[in-house]
Amino acid sequence: MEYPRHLFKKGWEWRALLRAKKISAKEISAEFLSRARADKTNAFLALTEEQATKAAARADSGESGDGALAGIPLGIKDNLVTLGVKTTCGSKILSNYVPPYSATVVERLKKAGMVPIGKCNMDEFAMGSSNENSAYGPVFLPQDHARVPGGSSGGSAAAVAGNLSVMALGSDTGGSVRQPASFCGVVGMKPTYGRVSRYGLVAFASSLDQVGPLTLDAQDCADLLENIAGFDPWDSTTQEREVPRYGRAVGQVRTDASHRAAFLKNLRVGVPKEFFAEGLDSTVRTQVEKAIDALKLSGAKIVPVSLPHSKYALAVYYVIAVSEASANLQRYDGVRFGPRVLPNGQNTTLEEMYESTRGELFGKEVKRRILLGTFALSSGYYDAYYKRACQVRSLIARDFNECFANVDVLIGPTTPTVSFERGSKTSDPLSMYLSDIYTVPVNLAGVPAVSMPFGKGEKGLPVGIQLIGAPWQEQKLLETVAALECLFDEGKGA
Amino acid sequence: MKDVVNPEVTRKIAHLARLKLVDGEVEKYTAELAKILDFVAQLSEVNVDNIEPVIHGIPLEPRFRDDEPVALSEEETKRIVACSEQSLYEQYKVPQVIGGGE
Repeated sequence: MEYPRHLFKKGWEWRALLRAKKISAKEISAEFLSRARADKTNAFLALTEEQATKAAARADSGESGDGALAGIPLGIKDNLVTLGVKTTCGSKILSNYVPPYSATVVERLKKAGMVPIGKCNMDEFAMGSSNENSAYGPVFLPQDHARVPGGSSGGSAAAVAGNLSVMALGSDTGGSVRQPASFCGVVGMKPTYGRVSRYGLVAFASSLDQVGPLTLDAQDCADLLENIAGFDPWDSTTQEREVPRYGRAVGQVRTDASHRAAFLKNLRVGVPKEFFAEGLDSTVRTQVEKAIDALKLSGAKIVPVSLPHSKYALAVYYVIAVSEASANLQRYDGVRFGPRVLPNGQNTTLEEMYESTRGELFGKEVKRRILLGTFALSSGYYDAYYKRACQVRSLIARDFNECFANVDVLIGPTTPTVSFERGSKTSDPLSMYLSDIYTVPVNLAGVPAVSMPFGKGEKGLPVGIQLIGAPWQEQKLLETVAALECLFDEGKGA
Repeated sequence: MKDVVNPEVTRKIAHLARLKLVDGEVEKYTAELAKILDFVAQLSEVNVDNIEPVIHGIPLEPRFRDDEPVALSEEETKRIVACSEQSLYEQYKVPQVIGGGE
């Protein structure tokens, strides 16, 4: 059988080969597993060879049907629980946790016939922007091992960018899918809050968390989203709305030039001036401007807009996210899961066990955020911090609503800079937090957004462009990404 | 909102959060929290008069199901209890909390 040596095939390209019987899912799975075993970037915390082999056999036998994802390798962020497969969340406090069930998104992708390669490394409890907060060692940027892949879904992004998996699942609370997608040069999406089930996603900040795809292009992103989206009786925040055929819509933009031209002519693109402020690297700015010019030349209407309260988003985020985290992480006390720390052996009291287990097994960023959240929610400070942050959040969301009355999508950079060197921001939490300055407002407003690669910036490293959509308008967003990919391929990003 | 954190406050919130801090950590976290809270203090310049606090960015329809217990199979119960480091008779075992004291 002919074996395609061309790596970096997209999911839909592998599907075409599978349908034509030029290769089997078993062969694809074996190739990716062998690449993952030889990985030097620490992208995976565990490989799931047994599950992969079984899933590949099901795909080859036709048991998984003929959908877009059957037989396609998948990396799963280690904060998505997997039945019988250790799920550590990048933390020592869950070092021995073998979940008794699987997340809804994992179940759905299993049904769609995907082949799970392994569990992806991440910042502990998804708290971080560089993957340096994993208790199991940092992930390296595939393109330059001295640099970070971004975080917290750094393992998922590095797995796709390093061609260790074709697609991956991440989670995005303040940019944790989009920021690593930007650094690694892949596509990453945060869907509308309530679009994708969070059942089985280890909770960090429940009002912000959303599971999202990391892929090589818009088509794969659409196919993956279509399969994970929709109401789930196990997550009361998922909404009973129809899930559009994202894959078909994107396919049409990608393959039909006249349809694409008409789409671009009708597109209204907002450019928020706040996303081009001080601190934006000039090479990143140049790429975003090239994308805007390309859209304009294609007939899209470019509209200057403003998100006046977005400058407060980081401050709001670091109150709301830590407050929710301090409540969500109360459950890690050594009783129901994870190792126990008993400083006085048999004579340890319950209280000592709680404090020592948490004090010793949580990493420093997690402890910092639990302390901050406990402070913000504590008596005497609640109104000044938490309540005020929720009021400003309302204003931030209102800004987005006002913009979407006049435009279809917003465009800007995903991050202020390209990937930075490992260790360069670890001593100053605030400078690390600034990496998420353009992604955080999106989570607070609940709207969907995608980071897509658009050429190279400083030192030849990938630049990510962020496109933001109105609530529930993932289709328009993905069609825009697909159209921009075509413009880039025509030479508009160089 | 300045100078709200000091080592005593840090110790108090660490206790509320049931986090044991070791030597040096109290000072380290006090300094870091102060810096972050100083950054957060910019929120006081926003006029929030008559602005309702929100817990979600977009309006969501709340969904409720009937509050009916779901029976777990023996296998499922075993898997759940097995996540704990110490269990006995399919119950979690914890250090003694009642009696036996002074």
